[in-house]
Amino acid sequence: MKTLPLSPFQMAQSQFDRVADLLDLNTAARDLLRFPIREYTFAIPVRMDDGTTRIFRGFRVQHNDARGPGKGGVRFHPQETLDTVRGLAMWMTWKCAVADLPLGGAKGGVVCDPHQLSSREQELICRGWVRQVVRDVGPNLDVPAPDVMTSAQHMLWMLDEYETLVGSRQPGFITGKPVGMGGSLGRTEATGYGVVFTLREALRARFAKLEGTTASVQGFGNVGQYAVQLYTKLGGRVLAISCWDQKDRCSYTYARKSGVDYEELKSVTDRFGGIDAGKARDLGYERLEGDAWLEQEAEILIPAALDREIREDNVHLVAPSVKMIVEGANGPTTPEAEAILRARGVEVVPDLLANSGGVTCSYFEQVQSNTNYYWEREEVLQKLESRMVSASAAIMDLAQRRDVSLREAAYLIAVDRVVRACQERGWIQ
Amino acid sequence: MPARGQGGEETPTERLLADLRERAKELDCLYKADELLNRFQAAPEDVFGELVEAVPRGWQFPDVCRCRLRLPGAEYHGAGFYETPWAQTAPVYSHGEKVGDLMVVYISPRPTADEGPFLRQERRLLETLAERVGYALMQRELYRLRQGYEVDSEGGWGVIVEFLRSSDPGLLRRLVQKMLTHLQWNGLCTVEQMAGLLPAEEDSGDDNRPLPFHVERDLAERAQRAFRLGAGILGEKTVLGLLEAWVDEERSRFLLDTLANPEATLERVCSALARFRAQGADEDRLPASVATGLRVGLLSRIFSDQGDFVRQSARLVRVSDFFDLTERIVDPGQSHGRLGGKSAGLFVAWHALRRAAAEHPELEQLRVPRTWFLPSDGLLAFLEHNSFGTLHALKYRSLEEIRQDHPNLIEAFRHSPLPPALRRGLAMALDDLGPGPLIVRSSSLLEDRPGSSFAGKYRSLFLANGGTREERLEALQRAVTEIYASVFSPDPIGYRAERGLLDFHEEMSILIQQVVGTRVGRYFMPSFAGVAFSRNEFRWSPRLRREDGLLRLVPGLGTRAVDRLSDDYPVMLAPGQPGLRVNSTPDEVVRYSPRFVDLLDLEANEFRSLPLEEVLGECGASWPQVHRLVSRVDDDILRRVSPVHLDFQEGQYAVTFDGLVADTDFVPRMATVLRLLEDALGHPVDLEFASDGQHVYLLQCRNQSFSEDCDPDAIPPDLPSEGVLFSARRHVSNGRVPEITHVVYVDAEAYAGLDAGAMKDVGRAVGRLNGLLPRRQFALVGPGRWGSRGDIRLGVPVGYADIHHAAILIEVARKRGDFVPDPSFGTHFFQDLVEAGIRYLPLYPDDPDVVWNELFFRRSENLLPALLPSFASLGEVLRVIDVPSQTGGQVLRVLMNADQDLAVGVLSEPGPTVMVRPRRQERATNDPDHWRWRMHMAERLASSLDGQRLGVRSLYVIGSAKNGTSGPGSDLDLILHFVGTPEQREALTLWLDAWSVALAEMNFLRTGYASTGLLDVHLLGDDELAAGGGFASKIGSLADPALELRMASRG
Repeated sequence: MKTLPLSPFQMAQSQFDRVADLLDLNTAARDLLRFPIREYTFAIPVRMDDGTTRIFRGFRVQHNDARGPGKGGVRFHPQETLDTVRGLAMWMTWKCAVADLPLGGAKGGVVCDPHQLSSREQELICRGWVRQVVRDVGPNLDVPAPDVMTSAQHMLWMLDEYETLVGSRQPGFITGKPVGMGGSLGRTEATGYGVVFTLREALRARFAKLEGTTASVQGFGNVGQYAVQLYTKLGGRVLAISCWDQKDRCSYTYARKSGVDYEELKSVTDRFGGIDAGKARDLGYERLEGDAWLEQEAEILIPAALDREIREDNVHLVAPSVKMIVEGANGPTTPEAEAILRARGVEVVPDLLANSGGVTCSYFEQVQSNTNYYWEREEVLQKLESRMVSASAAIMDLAQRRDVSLREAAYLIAVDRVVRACQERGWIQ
Repeated sequence: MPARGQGGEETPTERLLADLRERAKELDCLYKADELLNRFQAAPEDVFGELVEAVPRGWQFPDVCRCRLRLPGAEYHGAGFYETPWAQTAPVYSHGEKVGDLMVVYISPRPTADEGPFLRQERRLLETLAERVGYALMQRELYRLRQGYEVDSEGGWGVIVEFLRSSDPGLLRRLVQKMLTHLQWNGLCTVEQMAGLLPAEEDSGDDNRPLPFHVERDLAERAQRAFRLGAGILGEKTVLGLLEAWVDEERSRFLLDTLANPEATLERVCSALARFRAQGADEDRLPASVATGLRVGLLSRIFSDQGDFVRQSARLVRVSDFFDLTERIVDPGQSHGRLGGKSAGLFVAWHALRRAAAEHPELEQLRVPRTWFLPSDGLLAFLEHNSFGTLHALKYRSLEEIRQDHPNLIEAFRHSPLPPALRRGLAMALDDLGPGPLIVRSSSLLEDRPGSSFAGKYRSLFLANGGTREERLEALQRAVTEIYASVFSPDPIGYRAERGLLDFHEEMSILIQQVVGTRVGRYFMPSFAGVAFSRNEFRWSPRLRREDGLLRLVPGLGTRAVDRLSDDYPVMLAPGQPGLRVNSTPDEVVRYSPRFVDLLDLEANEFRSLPLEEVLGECGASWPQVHRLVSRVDDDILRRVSPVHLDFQEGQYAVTFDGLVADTDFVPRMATVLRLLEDALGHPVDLEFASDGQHVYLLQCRNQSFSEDCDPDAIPPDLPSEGVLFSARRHVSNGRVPEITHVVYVDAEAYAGLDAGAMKDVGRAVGRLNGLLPRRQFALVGPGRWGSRGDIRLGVPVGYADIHHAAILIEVARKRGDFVPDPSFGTHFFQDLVEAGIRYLPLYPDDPDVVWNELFFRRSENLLPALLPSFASLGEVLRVIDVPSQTGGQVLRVLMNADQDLAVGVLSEPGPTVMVRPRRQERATNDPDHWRWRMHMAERLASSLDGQRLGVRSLYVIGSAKNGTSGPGSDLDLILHFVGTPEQREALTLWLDAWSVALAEMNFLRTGYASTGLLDVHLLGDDELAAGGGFASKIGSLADPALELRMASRG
């Protein structure tokens, strides 16, 4: 008889338990942080297009708000469970703490499949969700954001309902809004730039400079594109980029020894990050197989596409020249592969830190919305840089001092920060 | 201005133009005459006085032309009339007797033409005018009688009877008979009351009493009595009404007679109809049987004699609907042709909708584009005119020969003139259609047969229709001949051969239609266009019902919505539930939105497909309704475009049709149209439409069941249960699934027990199998939602690329605890599935009355470890079943019938059986020639391959040629075990390329499928063979082993 796989919440708990052991946390701290601080589950009745009424299940879980108002997305998912939401809420607590944002962790969701719902029905679900939690969320309590199958449009519906109920304009209630409706400039670039800022700090911690390094990138979507743009601007040379080809239904790697010219390559890329093979060839790029990005003789790999791209079965392809992997995507390196890479002396800059540019910019959106004053793009990116630099520095420093991996260091710092906030508030000793 | 008969310097076109001007004058004159003659109430001197002034306008030299009309007791002549030697006269008849004449004179000499100075056409015009004057006399008399009767009812019968007795005793006799029959049939009076009134049989029975006067008097008396009897029972007014209707009926006899006469030419039918119209005959006053007879006659004579079509349509159209139609038929002369299925479908649908518009005012907005028709025997006339008669036998030659010859034939056709009658007709059509772009489409007579859609088999040509009148006419003629050539092109001939239609005489009519649209910058295009189906066979949600219908919308010309495109996506909507869109997140909406626009480039004079951004950027602001078609993509939100800021230079845009759905009643209107047409025609319909931004135009209407996607499989009720692997009774769509030889099965229970990493491995293994298994011959059967991205426990995480060779995607929704999870309906890549023709089926094994043979899937031998050794550990979860090897050579057929909401997966012998009709969409793929030829050529190639010289150790065939499944366009896949040097490799590549190109050319000549090369060669070194992955796995493979061929020598 096989054991059932762990639920996301159980996985998050066991991850926390390991860190708690390293930090030698006391029972009260563990009991507080192993579970959410508050959970709401409720029903959302919706009058469907055909006149019938359907009841949808909604959730909001606030894992911990010792460091500030909760922050976390609202997911629409046909098989959403409270357990999944709990696990993700805890993950948000650590994520905000790693980036050193004055925010706690939360998550919400509705059991529904937007593919089977009209846009009007989705609007009613959004409004129903807000009506059920209006007393327990807010700009200074808990701030929702878009997540799986929810978009800026859903956020605007939720915001409108919230503002109607409280009787005032509160754009800071929610993030992920479009520019002009309370959204922040610089959001598109934030994650990709953040990847490069952390990369630069990780190199600096090794007394190396970014300038003159070489990299190979997987993915040419939002994250990959802006990472390549900033990386090349700072003097790095991108040897290869792998991206999805919609027509051939597979991915290809485009390589050029002299390095990628960002603007040039961007001009032959469609809006989904697909590169035009013929035009790229004319520009002198060689087209290789999708996996070839992994084998490039570069010093840095930036996986910025999907999870589980570097695995036990292909990690041997990683060239000996590679010294560092920066996780632009979520979970691109499996634990097994990471262990092998570590043994080879390759440093992995973990997703928790490397892609935290996104959540940092959400925080900026919140700040701007609360003051109803919106910054120029440059100001956003400047602030992003300084935040990412200091967040990175703390982790690099700890990793060196305790001789742990960057991933472990990130978790240690995150949990430690949250524990201390709880202590200072007197929730635990 | 060159006129006819003046000197010999005219070009043919000038002559033609002069002819046409004459024709226009004639028509003008006729219309004017009809208008005058229909005023029965007006005083005769007004009517006829004006007539004689109007007539000369129809003659070639109106200035010197005068006219005179002589009638009993009256003479009318135009100002300045006097008799001259240059005169033409036609008699005026009324009730079969000559009562006067109509004369036209020239008051000064004019050049000699056909009849003195007069043209042949002028003679015909004069006779027609005289004939109409005769009718008018009769109508006037009747009108007067009726008026008189109403004033003084006493004398009514007498006057009518007296009038008819002398003028038309035959009519009077029939009227009396009708009166009596009416009374008798309705049980209004007894036989006794009618004593002596019934026909005096002894009169007609005895030829020995030639006393006509006596008979007539008897008739008059009988008539008086009969009508008096009728009036006594029914009332005088009713009787008079009946009489009037019967007289009308009598007046429509000539039309019935013409329609019934198989000898009557189309021209005669049209002129009979014109006469019917000119008489102002009212269809509603005709007895129902007569009106139906007329409609049936017209439908079958003009369109098609298919019984179902005529029966259904006769209820929907009216005789008057044909009036305008027949004025837009180009007559090739002595035509007995018809207009074909496409014309018929549109005509009937359009008039059915116009009728319905009374109750549905929103339909008032609908239009059809102005269309001219060239009847089917135009082709024959063309062939005869150019002595191309032998072409009729061309279809019996081999396709290869036909294909080789076809380019020559097109050239020959393009340089051959149309017969003069056709040329004249086309010129008229051009004048009427005006200068905008035109589409010339074929409408085959074989098209309206069930199951023979001929979609795309014949050509449709767009004409920019610019330039001088002569150039436009020239271009139109060329287009017509090119379409004629397409009848003799290999594709339709092959298609007809397959359907057993070869021996039917193919006659193809042609439609010349204004292209719906407006000028946008240098382009011409509709604002948007698309196709609509009254039944939705591609439902993306269980909430959709078939009757919610389906719209496929594109910007620009509708060609992109009609065809399946693998690299572009029309926007799909269910008009019954427009809120339930296929795509939900902004990213999906943008990804699956149209990227190209089909349009006419007026400057380049050609049809083009351009990227959306290019068209938007260049002339987006002048694109009608563009703000309702596109949305601005701002990161994570799609925003409606303001009609104030139509600057598309900046930002990203995607076609969403959000504005059209939100702001207009287009979608509900289309829902109404689909529903009304399906109800009216009695079958599901499939429409093409386009909008110029103001109105929606209907372009085509067909029976949806005739189209290939929508044909239900016949499922025998007595299907033996032992061969059934599964059945489904929910959410079944129609659609053909090819024969399945392999099943990839994911076991739900075992899958649920995996951790996330292993689940992803299952997805990757499926992707690998997709590359290894025979294309479109395997089924994917798995739990929950294929392609689940968020929570992979819901279903195997695959992308479209991992499954795109499958034939069908089956999602198994098993009960978990107390609920059944919703299957995804393929939403993650739904539009990819639609465009690739991959079918989808959800199974609910826990439903009552369904079969789910889990043992077959679980116990059959699993090929996975042999196929993908590196994934062998997944053997418990992922099973690959070779169906024929497990069942003694059987294959799995999935029969789907949405009408019964039933689908079954059943094991049966391969090849067509009684149970399954031959597959249609995979045309020609069952033809064994394709793979035999490929195998033969592969053997030839191998036998001439000097392996020693080129460093090749062995050569294998894989794929469709080896499996006997090649279609006409398939590649020939080879694996070469290469052991040579780089130089040898180069030489080998060159050698193979030459073969590839040569084979491609040969294949093109055989099938018409063009490619740059036919070979798909995989060179494998020792290492790769030893590693055993990828193509190397085919060598010695269990599922689909490569076949080794003998070479000239081995390296």
